[in-house]
Amino acid sequence: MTRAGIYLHFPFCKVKCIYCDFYSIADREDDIFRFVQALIKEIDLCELDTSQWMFDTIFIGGGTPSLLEPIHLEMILNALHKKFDLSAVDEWSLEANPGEAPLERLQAFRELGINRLSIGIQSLEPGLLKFLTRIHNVEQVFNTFEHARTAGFDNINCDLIFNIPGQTMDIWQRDVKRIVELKPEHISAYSLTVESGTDLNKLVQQNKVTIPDDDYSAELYKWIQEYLSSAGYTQYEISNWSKPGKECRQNLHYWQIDPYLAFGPSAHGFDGKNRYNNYQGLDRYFQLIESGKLPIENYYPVSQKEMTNDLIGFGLRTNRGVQINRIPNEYRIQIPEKWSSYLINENGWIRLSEEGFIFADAIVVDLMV
Amino acid sequence: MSTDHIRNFCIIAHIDHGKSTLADRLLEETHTLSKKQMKNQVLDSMDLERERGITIKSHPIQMHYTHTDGQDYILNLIDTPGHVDFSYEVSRSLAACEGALLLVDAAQGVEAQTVSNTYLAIDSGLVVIPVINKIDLPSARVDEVTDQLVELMGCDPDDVVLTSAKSGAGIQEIFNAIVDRIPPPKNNDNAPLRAMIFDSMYDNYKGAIPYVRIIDGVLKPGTKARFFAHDNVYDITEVGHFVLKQIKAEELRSGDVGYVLANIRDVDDVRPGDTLTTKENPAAEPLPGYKQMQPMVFSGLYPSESDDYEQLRTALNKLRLNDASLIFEPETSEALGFGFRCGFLGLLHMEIVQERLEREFNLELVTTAPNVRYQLILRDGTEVEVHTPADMPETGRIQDIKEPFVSAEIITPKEYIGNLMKLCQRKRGIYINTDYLTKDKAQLHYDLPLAEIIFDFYDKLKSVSRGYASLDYTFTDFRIGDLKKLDILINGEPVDALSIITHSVDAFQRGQALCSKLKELIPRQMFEVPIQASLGAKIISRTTVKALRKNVTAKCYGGDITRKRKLWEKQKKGKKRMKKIGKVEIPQEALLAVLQIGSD
Repeated sequence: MTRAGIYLHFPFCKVKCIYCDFYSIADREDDIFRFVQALIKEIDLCELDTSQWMFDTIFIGGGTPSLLEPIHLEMILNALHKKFDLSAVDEWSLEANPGEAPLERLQAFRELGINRLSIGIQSLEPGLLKFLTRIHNVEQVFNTFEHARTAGFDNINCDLIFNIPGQTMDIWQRDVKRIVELKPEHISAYSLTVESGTDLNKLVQQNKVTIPDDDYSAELYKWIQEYLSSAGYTQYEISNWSKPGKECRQNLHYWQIDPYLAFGPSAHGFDGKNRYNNYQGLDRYFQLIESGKLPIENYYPVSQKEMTNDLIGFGLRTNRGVQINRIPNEYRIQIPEKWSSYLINENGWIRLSEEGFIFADAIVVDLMV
Repeated sequence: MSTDHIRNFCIIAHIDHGKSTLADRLLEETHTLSKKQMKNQVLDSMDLERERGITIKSHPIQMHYTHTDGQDYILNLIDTPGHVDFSYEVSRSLAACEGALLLVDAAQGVEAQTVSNTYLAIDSGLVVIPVINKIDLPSARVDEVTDQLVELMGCDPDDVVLTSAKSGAGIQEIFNAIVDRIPPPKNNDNAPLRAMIFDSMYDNYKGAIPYVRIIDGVLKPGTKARFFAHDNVYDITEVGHFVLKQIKAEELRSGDVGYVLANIRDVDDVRPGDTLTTKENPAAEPLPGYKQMQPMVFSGLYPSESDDYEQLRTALNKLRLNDASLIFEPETSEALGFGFRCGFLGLLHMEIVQERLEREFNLELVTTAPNVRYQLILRDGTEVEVHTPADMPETGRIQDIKEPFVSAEIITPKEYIGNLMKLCQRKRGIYINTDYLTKDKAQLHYDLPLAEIIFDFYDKLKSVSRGYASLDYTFTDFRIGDLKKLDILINGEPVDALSIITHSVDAFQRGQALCSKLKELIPRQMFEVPIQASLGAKIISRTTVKALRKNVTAKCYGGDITRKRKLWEKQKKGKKRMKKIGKVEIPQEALLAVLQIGSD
């Protein structure tokens, strides 16, 4: 049996953040119920053969899925149970924003079986939250975290962003330390990246915003690597740290090139041989599903070479590395001399050393076939 | 037809002054081709020529014209390239004519190239008919331009013909002037054959085809062609005239313009300016004026994809069939791989060759910054010629470096004289004198190093004169200069392709410019990379590319990991085109950016 995951995309947000390039929309809350119905229908329409898979993770991302009414979540989960065998699923993740997940709702989610909460904290500096167009304040961060604990969540992730214009080393260190004091099981730290199509990109193009340079972001990154390591977290991926056994296994599915189903507008899935993605626009999504059609925009086979490069590229971003015997026979991983000190070849796996993580992109490009 | 009824003429004009439109009008009026056959600007047959509004090759064309008195005439129009790079070819075309129409735009007035070609025509003994074109333009300044022409040629204002080639106004006056003012060719049918080659084309089936003007004698098929520039002999199989295509004729007589078929396979055997005679009854002396053409500007041409090297060689060979002035030899560069060092008549010639290679042969090229030829006198007394800075011997062995100088004339409205003089000064120009064409338009004479002209002189000239000044120049001689070879070292290794030869005064600034440009373009490596500029053993500029600190994107990709993989694949592709200098990996684009701009 191949282990597999399920991803559900909930695209609604109260406000679209300037840096976000995931599909999310504001001012459409009135359509949430219609969306839930469509999502249920999409799950029902799924034609992929999953008989050889064993689902073990489900992830509800967005958007802001903590805006979901518990009754809606229950309907969605019921649809999944009806369609798939979820008996082996033991990681049920949901994304929440501070201030947008009241205690009662969190309790209801927990009762519905959600056992992992990922909180989009990003920063604890009011000015930086404002710059990022986040709508929560620092107090709400702590409230939401506390509510999650009260509701019984014992597997919580905190998302943080570094390399924000104006984010000093002091602010970064203070924020990370305060988060660590909360003792979350998992911490993700993402570097602010400028993606085309975002408002942030416009601001950068107009020279209204300057992103700190790579050297500075390297300082911030190196610091959190060291600090979290000393606080008992393991860096199991470029941007992800966890306490032992609390890795996000849904994400590991993506990086280990396992299959995963995807539902909701813009969601990306992989059936082990083919990758596919849904249309992005909510209205198009509605229109297709309500006329009984799948909302799939692309469905295409992944070549052996692409698969190999996915295995190498994303495998190397994790602390386990790439399993050599998963590389198809016609390809070999060649390690150039210049990178030999950054790579460890052990027990059939090739992985990056701790120093290697920070050069991962350069190394991946040289190792790809 | 008797020689009395032949008129051989050319049109001298600056780019965009309407030469092709006038030619089209003459062809139409003489029914050489119907309106229907008329594609705009018939004479410029290459796409490139039409697009750029320039003539690269000389195109002869024969027209049958019935004059107002009822008499029939043959008018041979020999279209000439207008650009300074091709001034030798212009001079050969002029030598095939008895007269020239000097065509000047009524709004633009006289420009530098017009002036030099006019003097060339007058010096060759041609009757020059001044014509002002585009008189119907609202911005036309007919009186002022007439004054300029009177000053330039010393003619009578009444000699100036006014026309609008576009509307057809004044066309009859042009025909009148051609018939009445241009003398017919001399009849020398009885002398041994002397045919002047003014151009050639290459046909895959017929070989190299000389375009000739018969000066003496009669040229007939069945005789054997002999040339003065070499000893090869060919059987003449056909002669004829050009109407729009080749029209076979029984013979070509003195005064005629036409083509010769002799199955000549080697394009080198048909050299513009050479004299064709017969083996049976050879002329004693060639016609005067033949020069072996010397390329003045050199640059390296490399295929962007190293696999295309053979294709580039084939393409260059094919271009050369039609362009004997293009020379090339294989060259290897550590930074760019295998390519060719090519010699050109000038910058425009270089651009044209490069564009034709890219368009007609679908090649992607890397062109290094152009340089001139240098003559070196070594300490041991020997003289060597160098076409690329990479070939320069070590500084200690060099006694003197001589560089080509040109005599330049700049025509400009007088308000820009100050700026232009400053520019020439800065470009190591030697002031000769200033003439005034009219009270508002001046002609500056300078001697200038050709190296400065091909660097950025032309752009600067246009910018300090707001586009109004025009430039023309001719090569004069080689002069000793305080020149130095400037090397660029990346991580301690000299990079052959980046060496330049520069005047001592500019060495520091150019070294610094190259270093900082490279610093901008070289991606950070795993170690610190010093970039240095050196004159011999002396480092004159230094900068450093700091070591790479981080190369990873800590971003959340969600389930859409394909975008990241595609980005990696793209980078991988780019890396395949990476050049290695020692341990340093440099993207080809970075080298190109430095090589192509010649570092401003």
